[in-house]
Amino acid sequence: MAVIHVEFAGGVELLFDNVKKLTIPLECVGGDTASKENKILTIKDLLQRLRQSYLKQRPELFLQGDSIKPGILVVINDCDWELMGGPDYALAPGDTVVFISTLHGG
Amino acid sequence: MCQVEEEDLEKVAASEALAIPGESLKISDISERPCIKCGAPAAIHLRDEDFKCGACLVASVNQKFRIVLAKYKISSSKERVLVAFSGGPASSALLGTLRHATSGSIYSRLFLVPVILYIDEGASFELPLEERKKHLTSVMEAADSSGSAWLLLHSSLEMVFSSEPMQLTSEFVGGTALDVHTDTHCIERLGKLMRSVKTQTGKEEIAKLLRTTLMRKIARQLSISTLFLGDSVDRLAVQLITNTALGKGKRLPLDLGYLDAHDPICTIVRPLKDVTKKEIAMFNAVSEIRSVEVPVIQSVGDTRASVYSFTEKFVFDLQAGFPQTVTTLCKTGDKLCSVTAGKIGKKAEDDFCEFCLGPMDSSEKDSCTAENSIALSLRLSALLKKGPVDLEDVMSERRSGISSCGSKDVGCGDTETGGCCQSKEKKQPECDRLCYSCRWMMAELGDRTLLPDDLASELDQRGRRNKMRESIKEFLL
Repeated sequence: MAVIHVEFAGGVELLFDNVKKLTIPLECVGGDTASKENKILTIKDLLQRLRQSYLKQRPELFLQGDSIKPGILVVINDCDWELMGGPDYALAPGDTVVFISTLHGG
Repeated sequence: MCQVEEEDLEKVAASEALAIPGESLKISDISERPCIKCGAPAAIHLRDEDFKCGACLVASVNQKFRIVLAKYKISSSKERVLVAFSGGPASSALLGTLRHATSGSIYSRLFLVPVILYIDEGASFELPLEERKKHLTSVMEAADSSGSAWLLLHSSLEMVFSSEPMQLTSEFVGGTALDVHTDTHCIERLGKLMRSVKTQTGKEEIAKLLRTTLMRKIARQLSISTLFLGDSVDRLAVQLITNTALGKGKRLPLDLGYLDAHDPICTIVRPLKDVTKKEIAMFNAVSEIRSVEVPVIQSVGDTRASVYSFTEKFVFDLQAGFPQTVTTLCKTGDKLCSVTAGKIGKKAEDDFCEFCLGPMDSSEKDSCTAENSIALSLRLSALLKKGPVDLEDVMSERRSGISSCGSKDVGCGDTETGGCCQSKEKKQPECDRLCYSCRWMMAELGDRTLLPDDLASELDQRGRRNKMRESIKEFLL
């Protein structure tokens, strides 16, 4: 089954009930409608899925509008997300997405 | 003659549209760029055209670390250095750079002997002891995983109240939880102190003061004269604005510089001052350096809870749109110095605040201080109630030494009550040997007997010394 690996570091894990690693099936990222329509799934969809199903508290400390909060670094497969297309990066099976908070105290 | 054609205006408008902050380099333009050093596929975008691959990034962070040490001639010594380690990404990166610098070829190796120190702050926000033990063990494991046989020490924030020499080492056996070095009486005192502070900003500042005092105390106990802190450029930029907002302007050169040598016992060095948090996060990811996030007093707090959190949000939001914000702030901060900076070097005790060991800023001669500005503002507000006021008149009165509005009904100008033209910090006569921000902290605290005995007794001792100096002044040559 195609999956996405998500990791949290630098204090972001505190917002996810201290869970440091998640494995999310790719078809779960976009919800039911997306899999039917065969839509390309992006980091934006992943953020929405994280907010709906995994984020336990204070969404404003993780997200700002539809995107990630400034100060949280996103690393896709050991590479800065700015170099990979940012929020519009199309997720591929087996990708590892790491969210690292650079805010003091997490 | 200059002429502006319509065509030119269109060009200017088009170029302005391109220069929208954050849009100057679109994400689609920068994907799959090569590293500017070696040409390999880049792994990090730092700013504008600065792209680096993982290996070049690690080399550049290590290089920045060595430059700071070489600049201040720390690299040539064989002394022990105390390294503050919180378990977080910045201090883990600091250990990584130290490990790199102290290993490798004999020609380029540094001979420093790092002593790692972790200070557990759980007691400041009443974390259960079991949780603290768990955090301590994970932090010490992270420090131990660096693979170097460095001495690992740990202490707790409440131990600043202890008057005896502190126990710092623990037998480290993998798999078992370590015991926190603590004392019930000290926990009670710290709890009482923290509860007496009303605001979150006050709590953070007190915790910072206690942490620095404890680190100095430990450095003294171990006879180590150099302390390394893992402050990154982003953190220092936020600290710059926070310090200014809290009236610590005169401390800026000390708090933001590479080296803070004003304390004769312990010199503070910030070797990662030029490294951004983004570089640190990527450095750790590439070098596979483990970091542990331990909750601190600011964790998962409201962004408006304290001046620091609010400033951090402000700076980082600004940084998202204007990528040069942090660099500009720090470069500007580096150039700031006090107008009476020449006096800082003088080792007269009166020129230093006893708590934070920073330069005193309550001198009447120095007009650009937070205290004088507040006094002026209070005075203007009081005078405005009576009618229109000319700012020039108030300024000239102030210069000639008149510092009250003279309202009889509120007793303004009275030396005991202070009146309406004096800030609450000024109204505490026993605090005249503290700088403005420490006086503000004392006003927050209410009772100074809650502070550690060392700080309180030092303050009394200094008061007595001043009195004695006054009395024997006439007999001195």
